[in-house]
Amino acid sequence: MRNKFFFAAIISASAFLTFFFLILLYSLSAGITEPSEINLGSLWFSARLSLVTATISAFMAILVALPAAYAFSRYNFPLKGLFSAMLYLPFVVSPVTLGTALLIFFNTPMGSFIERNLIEFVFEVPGIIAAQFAVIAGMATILLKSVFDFIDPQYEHLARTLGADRVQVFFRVLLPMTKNGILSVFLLVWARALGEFGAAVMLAGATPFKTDTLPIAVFLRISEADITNASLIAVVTVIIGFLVMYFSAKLYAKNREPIL
Amino acid sequence: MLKIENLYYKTQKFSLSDINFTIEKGEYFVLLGPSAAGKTTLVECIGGIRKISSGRIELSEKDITDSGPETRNIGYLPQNCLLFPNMDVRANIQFGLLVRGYSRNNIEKRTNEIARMLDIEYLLDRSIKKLSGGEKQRVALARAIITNPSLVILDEPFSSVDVGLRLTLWFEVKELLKKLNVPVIHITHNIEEASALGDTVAVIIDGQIENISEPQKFFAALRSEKHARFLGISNIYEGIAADSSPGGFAEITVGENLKIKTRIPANITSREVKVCVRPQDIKILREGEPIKTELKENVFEGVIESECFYGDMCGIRVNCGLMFELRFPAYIHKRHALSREKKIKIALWQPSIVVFQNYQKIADDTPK
Repeated sequence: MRNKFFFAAIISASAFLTFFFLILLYSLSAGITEPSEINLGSLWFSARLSLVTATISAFMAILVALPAAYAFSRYNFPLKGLFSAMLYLPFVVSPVTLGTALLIFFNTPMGSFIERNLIEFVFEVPGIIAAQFAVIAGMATILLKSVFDFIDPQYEHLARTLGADRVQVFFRVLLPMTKNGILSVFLLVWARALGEFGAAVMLAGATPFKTDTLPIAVFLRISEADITNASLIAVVTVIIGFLVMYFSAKLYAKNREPIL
Repeated sequence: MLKIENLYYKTQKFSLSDINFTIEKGEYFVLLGPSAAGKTTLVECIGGIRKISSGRIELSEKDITDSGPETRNIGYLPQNCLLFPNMDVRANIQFGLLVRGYSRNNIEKRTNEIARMLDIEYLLDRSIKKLSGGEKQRVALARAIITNPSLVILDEPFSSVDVGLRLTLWFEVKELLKKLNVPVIHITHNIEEASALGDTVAVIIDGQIENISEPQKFFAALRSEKHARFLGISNIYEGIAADSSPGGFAEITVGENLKIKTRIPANITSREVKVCVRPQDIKILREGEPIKTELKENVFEGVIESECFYGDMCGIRVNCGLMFELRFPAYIHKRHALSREKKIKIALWQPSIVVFQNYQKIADDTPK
């Protein structure tokens, strides 16, 4: 009797969650009530801007996170616990707060110097990338650390006794062994960057046909009471997100397979 | 030649202390010890994977104490082989040459030579996931020796190989490595493996080398109870020596009032001692048969309390006021018509009785 009850409980919970998300998805698609008012130009611009900025910021995050995650996974260094806690900041602090921090930074002498002499971030497209990077860099480091943790350091020790230096060990042994995990982390942080709204809107603003990524475009359409286009953009975002998560989960599972 | 001098390695949880030994070219050196004795830690220090606290490591007359693992030129075969899972057999074997910048032609030539030597040419293009335990072993060995190392380290190399195949591999591997004419360190916790393979056997316990000797002699140089227990000696007794004059014969009282007569080693300084006898070194006597001189001094009468058979060996426990465990070939059981409750006479083979200082007892008795 208890077994049956337990089985019924887990099936019911799973069914409830599936049903809950299907209702949300249905609600979004049901919002597309006026097909004649669909603005494909705006959708295409936002989709393209989101894809480009998310790809650049995800690449940058992985590039920085790879060596950092390796250091966190393999070495002990002073204040490691403190640095490690800082990586979790974007999970605890809201993206709006992160965006505010960035906005204030670009008003400091150092930030103003960057703005004037290198790249303009405030209310510009690079601002979207900076905001996305701020949100996903820590996440990428934490996830990549867990990918590296899964690899027995003995492989690296062995490679060194065979004559490989530390650089060769990293590029010839560790990276090839973790490529599925790294790709999976890239997809996850890319998807997170694609959906980034709070930090991006604080730093880059919400200017149509300039800084309106998919989530910002949804916000703009809703504020104009344009439910059809808001719903359409939201549905497109959900489909992209769903596909990415599906492939990411598959890759992650493959990486977790027993090695031998 | 490998020379280790006063090697110390210390972490919060474990330490290796005062490690000294030399391994000549072509010598097969077995490092024997129980789990967590420090065997792998020691070879990781030699391989440069761990930085030692103090001491000196010399390989082929070069001081390598502070060199990185990549410059020590050591062939290392770790536990479970650790073949790179993202590479096929050929790429695994070639890894060492590739990272050292050998030309493609040289790499292929050397790979074919090694593969022929180890009889694994047919495996070269296979995925490592499709290899058996023995095949993995050969591939990992090929990878370790393809770079012409100055020292080969094998860390429990046969732990994942079926028992049936193990014996064949023992001799194949030793024969092959002898041809390379380099020092070899072979780690194991298996006493039979150490006896069969080692030119020299070093017993390591709790991070210290207890004894280095030829395999036939490592039972004779016991230094502690842990050492004796690891070597499978179950007959270990606390006793008090009647005459503590070192080097001479003395009567040692063990148990209630059992007297064992044996020679007291020169390093014994107190009457508190431990006596141990290997189960194989206790003989069953038959009425009317002459007794050898080495057995005459320690003859006891007792009752068989239990018996068990394992393979072609038999073990019995005899209560003589003190419990003695005996081990002998199974046919002896039949010859003596042994059975439980039977009264028998046993004798200890005097030259094999080992006596060492009972430091624990001395420490307990010392006023604090």
